[in-house]
Amino acid sequence: MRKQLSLNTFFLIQISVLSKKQLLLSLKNIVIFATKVKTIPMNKTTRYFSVACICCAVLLAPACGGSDDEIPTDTPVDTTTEVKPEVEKFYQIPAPDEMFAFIKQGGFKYNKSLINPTEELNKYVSPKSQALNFGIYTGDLAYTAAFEEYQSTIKYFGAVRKLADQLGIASAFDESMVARIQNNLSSSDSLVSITGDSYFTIVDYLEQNGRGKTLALMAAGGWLESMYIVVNSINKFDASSPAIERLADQKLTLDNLIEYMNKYTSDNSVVSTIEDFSGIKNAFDQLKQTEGTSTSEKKENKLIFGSSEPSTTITAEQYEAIKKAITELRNKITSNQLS
Amino acid sequence: MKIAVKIIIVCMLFVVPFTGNTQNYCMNYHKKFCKTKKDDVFTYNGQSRSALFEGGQTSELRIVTYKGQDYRVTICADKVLGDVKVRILETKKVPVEKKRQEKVVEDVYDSDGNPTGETKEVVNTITETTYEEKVEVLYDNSKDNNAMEVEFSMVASKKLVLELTPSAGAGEMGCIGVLIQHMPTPKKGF
Repeated sequence: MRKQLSLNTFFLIQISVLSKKQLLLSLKNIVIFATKVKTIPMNKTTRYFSVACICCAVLLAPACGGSDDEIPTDTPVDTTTEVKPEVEKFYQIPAPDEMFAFIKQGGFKYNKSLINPTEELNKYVSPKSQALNFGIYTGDLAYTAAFEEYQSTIKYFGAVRKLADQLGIASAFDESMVARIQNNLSSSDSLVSITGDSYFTIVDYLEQNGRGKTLALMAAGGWLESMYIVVNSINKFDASSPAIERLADQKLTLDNLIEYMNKYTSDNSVVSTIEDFSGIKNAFDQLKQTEGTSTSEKKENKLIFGSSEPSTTITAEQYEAIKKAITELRNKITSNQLS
Repeated sequence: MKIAVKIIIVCMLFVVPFTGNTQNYCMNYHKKFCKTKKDDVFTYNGQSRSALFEGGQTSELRIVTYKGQDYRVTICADKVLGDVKVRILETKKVPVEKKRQEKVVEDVYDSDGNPTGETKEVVNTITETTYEEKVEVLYDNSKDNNAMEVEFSMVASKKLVLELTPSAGAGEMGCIGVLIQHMPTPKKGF
């Protein structure tokens, strides 16, 4: 029995770590093993247990991942030529809460008129509009939490949940998250942490459930809302102010966002959203980006990454063009005027 | 037979939640397994990510880092993948001018500017600007005792590439998590 168990365990472990090609070979082994079980002298319980384990192994098989376009088992492999596989690239963009923490630190004041009223929520009917405005509301949620607007945070959390429901991702939220918000109303740190957690939970949920297209639109909406709030919170242009510098650096973030969306160009909503963002992209492309030599040095046990020259510079005219493009697109999305 | 059915049900209960979900298991790997100091002043950065890797496979996580921020990157991986080679790269699109020659046939004109009816072959040099990706290595953990955690300050905002390659051989599969944290660079002095 012990021998039988270890044999079955071996099969299970083997399956969980193998590539698809090897997996198919293992399944073949399992079939051979299953046919031999009958001939092995053992009591009924042992036999049934062995059969059960084979079932589990077969059930686990699809979980081993691997894309559908892998080489079939009978394709001859060229062992003499080394083919360097194309490196898989994942593009990430910072979450809206990072931007709001930064502007709060910079002394910016909360401005209620900049967020999208929750009453607008019922206007968003198409999946594209819902996904983009879902991003807009997650941005607003992060903004209210960062500035300790507790009642608004609850209200926007409700709006995000409602849109999540309409997008079919309501299960990303559970009651414990609502309870956490209600129980931590007096603590701004906790509120920021909870709304941050809820954002990352949604991101994880969308990734885990193959909703990358929705996530791309949501990320675009979230980034756009944080930019809208920032450009409309800046009273006076000063190229050397940290807020303006951070705004100019969004050229880098926008590049990653567009690259991320480019992964889903099989979807018309994503393609049209990339086109919708082209005005903002063009405005950012006007910024001068000097390519100084990258520097990496160690000071007091800490690495410091820099550049021999400032990376992105922005003029007042360029800032106004960016502000205009951002405001126009954001208002088109929130007023449901996008095609 | 009843015993067999019971065993199958128990096994199914154990297995079904993981069916079709092995890759998803890696999704929150960095949150579960990348341990950092408890007295932490760093904040979780939303660009953290986990993924399923095969031994020898190289993947890139392309992130945005801002000037005036400190970052901590912690890598954690399933043991089956062995040591993980970690490099932090900066990629830049560098304009490259390429010259090519193009032969064209042109009409020949007389001194009054009228076509003579003859043609001649002229070689034009055309300069085209293309953009190529230039890679600069900012950090390589093979020169840092294969460290799985690195902290750095950003003096300029950059798009960084976290390039990860597990040392295990092809066929070995497991999760790698990349936990990214950030905080404003502390100011020194009064």
